[in-house]
Order: sequence, then structure tokens, then C-alpha cells
Amino acid sequence: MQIFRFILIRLLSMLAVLLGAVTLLFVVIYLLVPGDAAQAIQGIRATPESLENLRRELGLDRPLWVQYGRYLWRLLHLDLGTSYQLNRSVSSVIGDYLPATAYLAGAALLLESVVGIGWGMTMAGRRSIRWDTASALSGAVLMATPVFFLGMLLQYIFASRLGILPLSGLGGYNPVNLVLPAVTLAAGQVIIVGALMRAALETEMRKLYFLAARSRGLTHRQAMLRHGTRNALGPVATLLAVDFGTLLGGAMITEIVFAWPGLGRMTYFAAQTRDVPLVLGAVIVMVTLFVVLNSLVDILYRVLNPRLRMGRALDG
Amino acid sequence: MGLLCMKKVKWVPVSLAVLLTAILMVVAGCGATDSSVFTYAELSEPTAIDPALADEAVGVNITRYLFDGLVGYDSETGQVKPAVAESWDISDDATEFTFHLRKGTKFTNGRELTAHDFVYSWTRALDPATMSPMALTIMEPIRGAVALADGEATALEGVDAVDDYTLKVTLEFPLAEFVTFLGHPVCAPVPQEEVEMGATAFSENPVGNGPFKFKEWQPNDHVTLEINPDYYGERAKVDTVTMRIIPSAATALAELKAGNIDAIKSIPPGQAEALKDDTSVNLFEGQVNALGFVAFNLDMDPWRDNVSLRQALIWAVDRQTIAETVLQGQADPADGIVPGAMPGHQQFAMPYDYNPETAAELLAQAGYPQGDGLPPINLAYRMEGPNADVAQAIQANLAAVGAQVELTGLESGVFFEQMLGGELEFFIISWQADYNSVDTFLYPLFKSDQGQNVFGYANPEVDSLLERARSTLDENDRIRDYNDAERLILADAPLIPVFFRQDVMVFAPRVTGFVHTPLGDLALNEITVSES
Repeated sequence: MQIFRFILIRLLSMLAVLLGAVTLLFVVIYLLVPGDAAQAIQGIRATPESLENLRRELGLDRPLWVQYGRYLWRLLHLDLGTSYQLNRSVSSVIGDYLPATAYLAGAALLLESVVGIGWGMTMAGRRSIRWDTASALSGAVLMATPVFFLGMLLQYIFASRLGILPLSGLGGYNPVNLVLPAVTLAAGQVIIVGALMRAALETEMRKLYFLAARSRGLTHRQAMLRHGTRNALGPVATLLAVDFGTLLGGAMITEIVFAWPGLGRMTYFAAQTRDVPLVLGAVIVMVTLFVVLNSLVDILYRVLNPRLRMGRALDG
Repeated sequence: MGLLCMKKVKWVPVSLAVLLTAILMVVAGCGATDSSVFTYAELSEPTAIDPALADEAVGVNITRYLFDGLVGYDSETGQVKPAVAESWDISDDATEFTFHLRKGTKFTNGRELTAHDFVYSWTRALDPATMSPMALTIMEPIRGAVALADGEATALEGVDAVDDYTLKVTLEFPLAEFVTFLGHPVCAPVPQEEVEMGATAFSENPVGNGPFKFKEWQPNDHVTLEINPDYYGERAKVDTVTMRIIPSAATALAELKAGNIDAIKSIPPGQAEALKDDTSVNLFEGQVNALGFVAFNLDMDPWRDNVSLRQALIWAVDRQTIAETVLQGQADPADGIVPGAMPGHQQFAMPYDYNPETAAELLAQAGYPQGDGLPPINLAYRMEGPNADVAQAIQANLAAVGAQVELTGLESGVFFEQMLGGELEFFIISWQADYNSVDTFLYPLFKSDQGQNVFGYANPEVDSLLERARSTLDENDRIRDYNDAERLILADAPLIPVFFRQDVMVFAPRVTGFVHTPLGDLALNEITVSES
């Protein structure tokens, strides 16, 4: 029964976080963004009458709390409003871009997990100054490289010079087009995943069950693969889940460099054209994905890991 | 352990080799070497592919490929030419226009296009529910257009389909050049039966009557058009046109150099010089009908009633350097109000050069020798594009003659709000032609009763010249009136014309026949892509 109570509390707190986020975003976007949206849309051709008409059309003539109430009411019905610039429902616009973003996010996540975890496993337990320095140094360089620079470097080497990978674009979901943007997006994160995996594995290696496994006659490698890895994956999985939530929000710079039709780039251009409903809707979708994903991981943890259910961790 | 190692050594290179081969096989299949396909890049996506809704350059450009109005523009000269209308008659008082439509032209859904389609399409564009950004700007002269746009009428009074092939248009006031207004895509016909399937559906799957027909649109990725086999006009020389949306000009240039696209419509900042010397590409520069200027608010001090002061500041601005250095050659120094690409443009209308000494003399005449006693001037601009750089250059120019300038960068909405509210004293803004006539640079901006007269400028002589020009049928007489008005305005100095914008496009060597229209579009009719 305890587990159901936990899930219920977790879901309720998730809803509270979402409501708080929506309120904050609404207030920030409507109050702090300077200027009048109607004026920004019509520019120099605006006349007082056309502005008034547009404000009425967009509901901007109502007090802020009425606008907020209406927005929440519609949100409850999963209606994110209509884009100012595109004259289309915000949810259908977001629906256009979410697949490309999810596709890229999935690939980047896969790269992060496979390369990061593999790297962490290779490095775990090795005490070599040369290797440590090399990995720390390359990690620092990779993490410090601005994304746009890494992206353009990869484009130059693999597309312009070698001509073996496409330079940009979705290419009709051709997997080859996915390689460079996914590598660009995953590069910095791989290092973090790798370092966490290594640290987690090394912690496991010092535990009694690991020694017990070794003393049963398993090699270090076997003990690591069969026992250590499974336990070390916990924190890494949390990190990956958080990462996935972030990736689903779209990666603006990578999407611009690689002309990728994703959510981040769409939101950036929507902000430039002051398309308030579109920006607000996109950010709400991103926040929701992030919060829901995190809550799911939290709940799954409790379900899958009985030790946490007791409310305290038992040392193996 | 040993077995495990062997496995690793064996499989890694094998799987890598398989992967690489697969990649190479896929890559070999793409690349834009097909001579029937023309691929060009735009930085951003059209907001809609619907004549009533397009207002930004990308949407207007692509709409021109898909929809033909009553008239079009000659891509080189910008002169009006017949399109769906074969010919037209204008009444002597320039208020009644009768268009004779070509018989047998079709929408791409197969239905014949008639005069009734224009009545429907114009009414739809003006209907407030359509929320067309451009309809009223272009169609305002038509009798009843304002009433329809304001929701006071449901039909467009001044437009009548006399029969299937005759369309009669009555204007609210004389306007000899009204036909040029009709070259704007917002006046293009749309088939009612397709539109009524839903506005969103129409923009996602537009049906037109132009040289190309719509094939597909992957948002923020590409739009593909195919040749329209039923087109009444001359057939284009490519069968398929793909517009790729590549938001980074650097990426687009790399794609062009890699041979994957044929043309890019914008270049990365600072690259113009390098590209001029690059033999692997063809650089094309063409002036567009757009003026960048600084406006004086004539209702405010110190500008009010002080023409010498305003003229002094015009003499102080180094337009040549701003065009060449600050705007990196993507502009020409303005020699008047009307850009050189516009039919009817007069050369050297400006009675001012760059000369700080003359500026200093005039400044003394104006009562501010060396700028003494002149309060600091606030120069406002929109924080977009190169405006900030232009503002700094002007600040330095004016400081050199003793006028102190403070800069205020504003977000677009705030800028327009304050400008139209008359709160800005001195501001940078640009104006782009809505239709291919000198009128678009003079009448809306400088006639005393116009909403877009942001200067507060009023000169009865200019008003009557502009009024007369609009009702004059003879082209030479009309242009003379417009030119006279332009010179009068410049002498009154309500603005500092700074630059005429240039478009820079880059083409792959295999592309020939490109024509850059003064409206900033890429004309496709002569484009040829050779096998490479």
C-alpha cells in the first residue's frame, strides 16, 4: 500500500510543479516582455483601429488575471491556444516538430548511454596516470568546446572534406543524417555519463558483495559485468533520464547548425517573432515532458528497487 | 578471457566496415546533380503558403511560384505585365478598371479559373476573420475595401464579375497605377472549394494556378514544388524546385560548396569579399526596393521649424562608408528616397553630399555653432539586424560636427509603439516597397494625412503633386509629378536617406539564367541547371 501512497504523492507534487511552472511562465512572458504584442505583430502599418481589433481578437484587452484564467481553463482541455504568426493551433505546430526532436534526442541518448557507460566500464578500477590524464584532458576539451564549433568542425571534416556524411537537414529521416547532430549533441554529455559510471562502479567494487563474488572465483571482469554493473547503473540511469528530458526540449544551437527541424529552433524563431502563445506552449510542453519523465523515473525506482521503498538504503 | 579478446578484435573492425559501406552507399544516392531539380536555401520558413496570409519575404517569394494574379511583374525591369488578365481598360478618371481574363486557365485541381474567383479571393483576403496582414494595405483603394475589413460590410462593393472572363473594379479615389498594386500575391486567386476545406488544410496543401504546383512541406526542413503541366504561360526549365530551410547561412554556404544545393539567398556576415574572389561559386548582387533612413520627428524640438539644422545633419552623414563598411557592401548609399531598382526612379535626387564643412556651416546658421547649445539627440533603433552598427556610425558622424547623440536600442514592439505614438525624436527605420511603383515610397510616407507619415511631415505642394500623380494616366506626366514631389521632400529634409539595400545571392556554377527581381525574389523562369 505504501507504494501506492508514494505514487499518489509523487503525481500530486508533479501537478503542483506544473501549475507553478505554467503560472511563472505566463507571468514572466506577459509581464516582463516589453512592448505590446499587437504592435509588434503589425509593425509600421498598424493603425489605432487595427491594433484595437487585433488586441480584442487575441484577448489582450482583458485584465491579466482573466487572460491567465482563460489560459489555464483551455490548458485543462489540452488547448494551448493559437499561434499569432502561423494562425494555427499551437499543439499542431508543436506536433510538427516533436518527432524530429524525439528522433534526435533518442539517438543522442543512445550514444550517451552506449559510449558513456562503455567508457566508464573500461576506465573503472584502472589506475593509470597516463590514461586518467588523457581522459580528463580530452573530457575537459570536449566539454569546453562550444556546441556550434564542434558541429561546424564535424561538418567540415565528415561532410565537406571527406564527403561521407550529409552536412545538414533531416533528409526524410535518413539515419545517416542523424550521425553528425547526434554526435555533436552527445559529445559533452558522454564525458559526464562516463565519469559517473566509473565512479559508481568503483564504489560497488569496494563493497562486500563484490569481494564475495571475486572470492567465489569470478574474475574481476566477470564480477563487474555480472554484479557491479547492475548496481552501478542506478545513478547513471537517473542522469540519463534527466538528460533525455532536457534533450526533448530541443537543442537550439545544434538544430540551427544542422538545419534540423526541431522544437528548440522553432521556439527560438517563435520568440524572435514575439509569438507568445507558441513560445509559452512550447516551453510548457518541454517542462511537462521533463517533469513527467523525472517523476516516472522516481516512481520506477521505488517499484524496481525495494531497498528504497523502506525509506532508507541498506548497504549491500 | 582470451576468447573474449579475440571476439572483440574480430568484430569491431568488421562491424565498422559494414557500417561505413552502408553509409557510403546511402550517401552516394543523394546530391543535387540532377539537371531537372533546382534546390535553393532560405534562412527561415514561410509563415504560411497562402496568398492572403503571406507577408514576409520567404512566404511572398514562394507564393509567387504557386499563384498567378491578374498581372505580374517583369522579372528584370519590374514593369507590370499581363498574367491571368490578358488586357485591361482604365476609365479616363482612373477610377474604373476592366480586366479581360484569359480563357481556359486552370487551378491545379483541374477547375477553370474565372472572374468570380477573384471576387471570392479578394473578399476572403479582406474579411477580418482571415487576418490577412497585407490585404488592406494593397486593396485599400478598392471601393468598399475598408468597410469590409472593418466588419461593416460582408461583400466587396467595388468588385464585380461582369461575366466569367471580365472583372470590373471600381476605386474609391483615382489611382492610375492601381494595376501595379495587383502584382502583390495577396491579390492572387484561390479556389473556394479548396479553401473551404479549412484554412489550415489549405496552407498545408495549397492549390494555385502558377508555374509550379505544391508537392510537400516538411516544416522547417523543406518545401518541394513540381512543374505545373497545365500552366498557361511559358514553362520553366526545371521540373522540381526544392526550397530547403537552413537557418545558419554558414551551413547553407557549406552545402552549396559541397554541391548539395544550387543557390543560397543570404550569405554569412563578412563573407561578401571572400566570395567575390571565389571562382567555385557565382556571386550575384542586386538592389532591392528598400530604403534605410533616419527620420526626424518634425513635431519635436529641436527639429521643428529648423530646416538648416536637419540639412546640416544630412550633410554630416557619410552614406558611402556606411554602405561599404558598416553594411559590408550589402547596400548602396542612398541618392534619394526612391531606390534605383524602381521603375521611374530619378538619379541623384539628393541635393546633399557627405561634407562635414558644409554641415558645420549649416549648423552655425541653424543657431548651433560647433553644436553649442544643441541638446543631446536621442537616436532610437530596433535591436535587429545591422541597425545598431548603423546607429553607431551615425553617432560618430554627427559627433564629428559637434552634435551629441545618445543611442537607444529598442525591442520591436516597443519601438513601433513609441514611434507611432510620436514619442521618438530621431529614429532609424527602413521601408520596403509593397508594389512596384515610385508611389510606394512617397504617398504613404509623406502625404500629410497618411498613417505611415511617421515624420509629421506636411507640405501642401507635395500633397497636391502626389494627389495629381495618382490620378494621371500618362506615365511620363505621372513620373514627373512624383519626381518633383521627391525633390521637394528632400529639400524640406524630414529624413536622412542612408542606404538602399542589396540582396546578395550565391549560385553554384552549374546554374545559369538567374534573374534577381527588384522585389527581392528569385525568378525561376529562366533558371537552368546543367548536368555535372
